[in-house]
Amino acid sequence: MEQILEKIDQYILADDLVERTGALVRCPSYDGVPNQETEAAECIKRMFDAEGIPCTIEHVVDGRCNVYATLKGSGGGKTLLLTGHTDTVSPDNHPRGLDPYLEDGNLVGRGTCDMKGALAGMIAALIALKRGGVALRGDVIFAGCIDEEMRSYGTIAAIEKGIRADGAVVGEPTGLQVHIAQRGLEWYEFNFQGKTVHGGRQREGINAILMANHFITKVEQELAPKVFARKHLLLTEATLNVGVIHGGTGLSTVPGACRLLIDRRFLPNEDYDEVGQEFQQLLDELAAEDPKFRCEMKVMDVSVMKPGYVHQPFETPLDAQIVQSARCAAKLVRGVDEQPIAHVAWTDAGMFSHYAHIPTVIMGPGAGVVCHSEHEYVPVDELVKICRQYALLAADFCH
Amino acid sequence: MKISELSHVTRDEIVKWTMDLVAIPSYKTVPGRETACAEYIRDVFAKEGIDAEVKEVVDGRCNVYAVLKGTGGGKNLLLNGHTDTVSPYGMEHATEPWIEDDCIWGRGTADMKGPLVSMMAAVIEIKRSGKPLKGDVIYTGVIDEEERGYGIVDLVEHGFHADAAIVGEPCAFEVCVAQRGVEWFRFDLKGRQVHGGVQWLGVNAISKAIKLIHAIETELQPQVNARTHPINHSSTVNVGVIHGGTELSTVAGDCTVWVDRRWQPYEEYEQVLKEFQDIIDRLSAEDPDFKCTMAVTDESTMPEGYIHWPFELDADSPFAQLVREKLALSSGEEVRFNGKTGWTDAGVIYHCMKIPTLVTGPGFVVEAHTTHEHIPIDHLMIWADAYTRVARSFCD
Repeated sequence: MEQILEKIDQYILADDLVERTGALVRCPSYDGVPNQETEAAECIKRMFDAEGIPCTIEHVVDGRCNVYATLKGSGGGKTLLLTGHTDTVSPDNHPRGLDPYLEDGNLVGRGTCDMKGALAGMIAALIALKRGGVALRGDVIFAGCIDEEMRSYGTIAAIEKGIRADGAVVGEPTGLQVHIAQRGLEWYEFNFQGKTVHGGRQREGINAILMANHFITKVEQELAPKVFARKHLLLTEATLNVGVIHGGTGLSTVPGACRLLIDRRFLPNEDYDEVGQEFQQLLDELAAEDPKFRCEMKVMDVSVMKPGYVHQPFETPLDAQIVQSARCAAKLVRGVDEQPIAHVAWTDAGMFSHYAHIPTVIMGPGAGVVCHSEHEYVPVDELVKICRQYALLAADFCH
Repeated sequence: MKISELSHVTRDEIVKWTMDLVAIPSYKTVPGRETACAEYIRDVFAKEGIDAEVKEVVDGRCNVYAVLKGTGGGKNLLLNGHTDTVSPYGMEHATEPWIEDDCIWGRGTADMKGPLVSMMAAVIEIKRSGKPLKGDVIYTGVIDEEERGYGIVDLVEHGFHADAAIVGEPCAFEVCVAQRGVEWFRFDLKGRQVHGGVQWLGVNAISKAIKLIHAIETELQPQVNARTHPINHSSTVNVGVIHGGTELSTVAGDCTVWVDRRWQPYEEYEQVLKEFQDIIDRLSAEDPDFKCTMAVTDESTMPEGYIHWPFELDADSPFAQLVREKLALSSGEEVRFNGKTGWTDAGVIYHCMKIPTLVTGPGFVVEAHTTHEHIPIDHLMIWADAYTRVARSFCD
């Protein structure tokens, strides 16, 4: 592996990574931009084209495009997928969000950490492998996917077009560490319906807030203990969070409506349909006890993906080749061998793992906490390191 | 309908005064709010040679007071109404009143510029008739009834001497001799906000609100609802509004619950407060993370020392009987005693001036605050006549 580093390191330069990341950040790709990610995809294509690495742009939806590139191997090796999303959240809360700058060894701007820095690292890794003449038997595929911040249309398109790989790396920020599991996520909305009555005749109404109260009480007493008892070595436990409640219009009026939002994180060994069914069962029991009890449960609009897809969890075994290669690369670059851990947030890794059955890890530069913030940044030294990690991982996995 | 006393004020005048007042908006965002209405009423009285004044209460907002002096030796009658209205709330042409189906339509026609005109007409009728009363008829149009009650507080502190009072809120064809007190509470539950990823470090304020509401529903509400009254609806506690949490992946750090409480004349306000505080204290003792503060909502906080009191007048008392008899005469309808479902300024008059007080006025209360608020012109005439009869009888 040290020999590989000798071949590629001369092509992995901080200035080059800063420039590539900066170029991507300057292509706005948040919700509201016409064709949103397509300008960034074209920017990526130009980088690959300049190196003679075959690259295609493929339309997904509404003028929005994924970008794919392949560094062909000589044949007979494993195929690696390096992937990340090309969209970002809005730069509205971020001063100079689209005008990246260096500060204290960090590159600051919207998407630097989530996750155009990682994309630049992947692109530069493919380029370094090619320039360095590293012989690979398997292919290294790069996929820049749209819409991760919303409904993961890009990743679903990649999966549905039949992307095949023996291992995948999603470059979400992990501070260069290897993450091998995440919880699934669902956001449920409960709409309780009562009967609104104004003024002094309150006893004639049906109070929707009290209905919600009965439900939450039941969730806390009956469901939450069961959920939190579901433990996992890496993911600690399943959770539910009663996050938001809004009910009623005026305090003298019997509230006819109350809306409740619950966040549920589930473990790889939990079944998605059962997760929903557990809530529905409590609602059914309450309705059986009280004929006036009315509640509609649904997945929140913002959490609805394409039919057939949900925010799945994943878990890749420690002995999977992709984990071993990633760990080996990280150890070599960082000088420490860290135990792979779980990722706290949800990422597209769940999609590749669950729906495309590709053993997947998450590994990228930067810290999750700065994502979406008003001061998003990625350390430049991590850009360099992650690029080396991706290249080494590819060399090991695809040799 | 049998209107015999009203012979010096015409139907056309009553219609004009009502439409004029409705055309002068007096809802929340109007500068000076009720003052232009007060000045209009003062000017009408002044033209009749009746003493009237506009008096600033707060922020340029004025009550209007008029007194038809008696010759002496009689009892004084207070006629009261409020000059503010609620906002149009989507009512079209709310302040461009029109006549349709023998009714006047517009914001405040029933609640309660129409009733103010009936009362004004009664005072003018007596004045024009040339048959003075022994006692005074005191006419008051007060501000801010729909909110904090600044107007009624100024009235009871003004120093009028009255022996009985009628508040002219719409309640055809009833004489309301009781109402429940009302208070609006907010309960602020404090948790500890953290990201959902580290839930165990947080305290979910919504969970704490659930405990509070559960206790209110299962412990307090049955007791409260059992407090009945011969004519009022029973006491109530209504959990009306809840807002908690910021977004669903975050452990909610704050949750606020708003509660409306109506209580009987025989309940003590301090007890009403204590019943809630006892629940909070018990839950706090059981759970060190239960942090809840209770307050009267800002919007409903009256000036220091005043609350939304209930009132109750014996239906067999001479004043109640007199008003019912005269309204029955004027209307030809069967008039019944009832409790007022909503709160009115009668609670403050009764509590502070300690005089027989009741509520009766033209129009239907169910129209108040709606997009189709209106008042039958016949009602305006009937109550103008009834107030005249009551004054003639009571003040002589």
